[in-house]
Amino acid sequence: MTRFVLTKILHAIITFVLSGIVIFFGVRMLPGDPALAMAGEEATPERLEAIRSGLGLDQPLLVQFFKFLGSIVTGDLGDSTRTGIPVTEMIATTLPVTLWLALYAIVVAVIVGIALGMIAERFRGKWPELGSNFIALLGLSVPNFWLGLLAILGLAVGLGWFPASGYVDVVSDPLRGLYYLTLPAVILGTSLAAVITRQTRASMIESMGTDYVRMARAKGLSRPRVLFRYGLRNSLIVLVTIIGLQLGGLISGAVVTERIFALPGLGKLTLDAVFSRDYPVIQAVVLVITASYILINLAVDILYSVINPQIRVSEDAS
Amino acid sequence: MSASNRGDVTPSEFVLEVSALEVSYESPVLHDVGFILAPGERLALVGQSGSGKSTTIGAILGLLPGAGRVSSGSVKYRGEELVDADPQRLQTLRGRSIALVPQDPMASLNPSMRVGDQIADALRTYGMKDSAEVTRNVTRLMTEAGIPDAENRRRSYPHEFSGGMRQRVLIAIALSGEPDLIIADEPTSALDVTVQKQILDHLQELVTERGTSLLFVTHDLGVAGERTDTILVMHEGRVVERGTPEQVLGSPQDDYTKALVKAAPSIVVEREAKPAENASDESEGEAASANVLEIKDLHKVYKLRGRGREVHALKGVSFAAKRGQTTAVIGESGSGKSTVAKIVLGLEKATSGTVLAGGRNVDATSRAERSILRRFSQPVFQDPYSSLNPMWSIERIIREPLDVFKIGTRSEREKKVAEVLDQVALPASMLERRPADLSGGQRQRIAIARALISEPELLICDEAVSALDVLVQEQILDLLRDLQVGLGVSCLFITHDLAVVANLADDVVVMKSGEVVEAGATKDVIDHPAADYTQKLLAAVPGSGLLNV
Repeated sequence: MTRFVLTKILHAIITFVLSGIVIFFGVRMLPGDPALAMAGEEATPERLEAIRSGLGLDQPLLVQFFKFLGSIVTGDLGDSTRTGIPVTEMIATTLPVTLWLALYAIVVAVIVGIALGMIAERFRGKWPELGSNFIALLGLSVPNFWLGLLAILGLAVGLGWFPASGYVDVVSDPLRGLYYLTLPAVILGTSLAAVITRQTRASMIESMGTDYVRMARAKGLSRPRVLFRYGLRNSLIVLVTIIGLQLGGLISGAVVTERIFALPGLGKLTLDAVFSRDYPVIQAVVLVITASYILINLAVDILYSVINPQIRVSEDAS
Repeated sequence: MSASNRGDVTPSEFVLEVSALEVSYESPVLHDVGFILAPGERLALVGQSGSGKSTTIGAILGLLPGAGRVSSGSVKYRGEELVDADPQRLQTLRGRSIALVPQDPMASLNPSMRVGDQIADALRTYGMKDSAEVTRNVTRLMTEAGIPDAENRRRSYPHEFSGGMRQRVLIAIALSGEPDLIIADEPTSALDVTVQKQILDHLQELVTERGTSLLFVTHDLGVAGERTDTILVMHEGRVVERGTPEQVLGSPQDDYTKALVKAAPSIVVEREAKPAENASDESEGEAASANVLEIKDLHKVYKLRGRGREVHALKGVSFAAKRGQTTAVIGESGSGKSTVAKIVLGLEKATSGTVLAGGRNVDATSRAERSILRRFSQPVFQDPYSSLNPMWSIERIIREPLDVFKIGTRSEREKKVAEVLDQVALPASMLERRPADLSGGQRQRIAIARALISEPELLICDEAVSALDVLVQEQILDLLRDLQVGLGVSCLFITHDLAVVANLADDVVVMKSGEVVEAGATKDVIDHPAADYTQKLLAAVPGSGLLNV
């Protein structure tokens, strides 16, 4: 098991380094000039040159690359070309917003999705299944931003149940913080919840039809026990994979959701940075997002082996 | 002991009374099924798949699959009506009073739960609270079910157990509620024959010790005859015959039972060994060899991923198969018999050793040579349900080898398809259908037709009848025999079933753990087995004593 985890961590590190290389060169292939974006259309060539040398952009690409690598190792990712604030500081203030939003959305999506999926399985062919299928279909097909606007109009502006925008730090004031994040989290989690609903329904139908579930019932076990310990537990193996794959989409979805609800998160920072060719910030943000993808996948891999004992053994042998 | 069918026990003393039971899905599938079971009595329900055995036990347990329901009749457990009983009450009875030993041990344990926990789960449900007591009882039950080192093994997951050991776990679960009725649903049909005997002996011992009644569901008349007091034969949802094993097996009254008794696996060799001369005469020009297949010192080592672990699947296997005859390779799972088949077919490469098929080394490297070898031998696999492409029509499935080997024109191919379909005794109306419309036996005929159409010299049947019911099995074996006489095709028959060997093979090769332990003419090997292992195999065949009367 330790061997398995160590191998996975090593894979994660290699993936991270490789994606670092791609990010560095990818950002530099973006059309546009950061010096021009900073100085404005009217700037003289001398002024642009000065800005470039100040940013180190006049150095050969390879030199810039090794500086970039060095900056990752030291954790000093440079300053924003737009605001002059250290990039690490900007990320430190925006990342928690996005993390809380994403985490909240996942929790909502998993609870709602699994519940709706299990209801659909339990009442096959009856109206609860139809209802569950309908909600899942809506969640998948209605665009996030439109749903977000509707929610703001209806629940925030109309009924006044939730704030329409704004952010309160979750750590310093958990209740108010979560209250402010509820609407964005529900909106962000919708499509994930829809996918989980469908997947739960499908894998529950499969696992509840297996011989071991029949055997569990023949043992005289109570219905909930059979449902959760024998049915859901084995469905989780598939579910965790699906959820892991969907989390990537959740982060890009966060960019849009943060925009709609005016949350000061990573998404907003990314958009601003891209529009002003703020190389250090773009690089750093993409790096952080990449790292979170890699961490999520690592977590899914490890979780997968915890849930499915058969994986643990066969992978151990490798 | 077997008092129930004489009626000298008062009704409330019966453990189980089933009367006029009818189960319906859209239409009735079970008609007027009735029987009674006294304390300590052992009753067998015998029939083929689809005869209604499993539906009957589903109705007793209240676990009918899908939309099935009891449409009339009654099931009484110690006088208490179970049909339409409160689900809560049924849940209480299951496990504590009526326990199940299911059919497929590989699929009946929760794969994500330690085996000990699955037994503990039952114990806790039956009211055992103290966790030390639960653990102690789990270990005790596992030990009693014949699992060595239960103290450690209870922490293992199902996939770390063999099929036989899993079935022992399931038996431990069945015993954990101290039920007075155990329903064993084909408990060993998925297991090797020697394991099968151990498990059945053990189950029988435990049941007798405790005075538990046993409802034993099986398709195997031999097993039923040896191990129960009363036999009920079911056919198409009805009980067609009932009586003691002696009555049912000795003088069956019903036509269906007669057919079943006749088709029941028997290991008396009826065939005289065919002289191999006709084959060698005809093939004088070509290689002049009487052997269609020669295997010399074949080794196969599988490397497991990492850590340099290796499995020696074959350890120097040598034998030859005569042209125009059937050579059976018999052994249990893990004996390496299927590996031999794969190497002969060119699906696997041997680690060392040679295989000559029709005088050609199967290790050939050139494309042309490989193509010739592929045409030389054709496979028929075990599971006719998964070895036919479900999307294709029967016509396309059978024709495919001709397309692949580019044999004949379009019209010639069509003619040839009709011809082989006729050879396997299927009507031409089959051609447009798809595999899903066909029964298991019909599918296996299609698989044989597909194998024959490119006119191979060697047919390799890997457990080709073991997924089929015994009557269908008999028909397919007949077909193979006829085809051999008619077409002179040689056959390498991989099987675990001695009865099939006795019925079909001219020669037999007995394999164990990657080695040949005995080989020779079928009659010699079965009548005078030399190796210990062969003797053990013969002794384990269920009903070998009973059926040869």
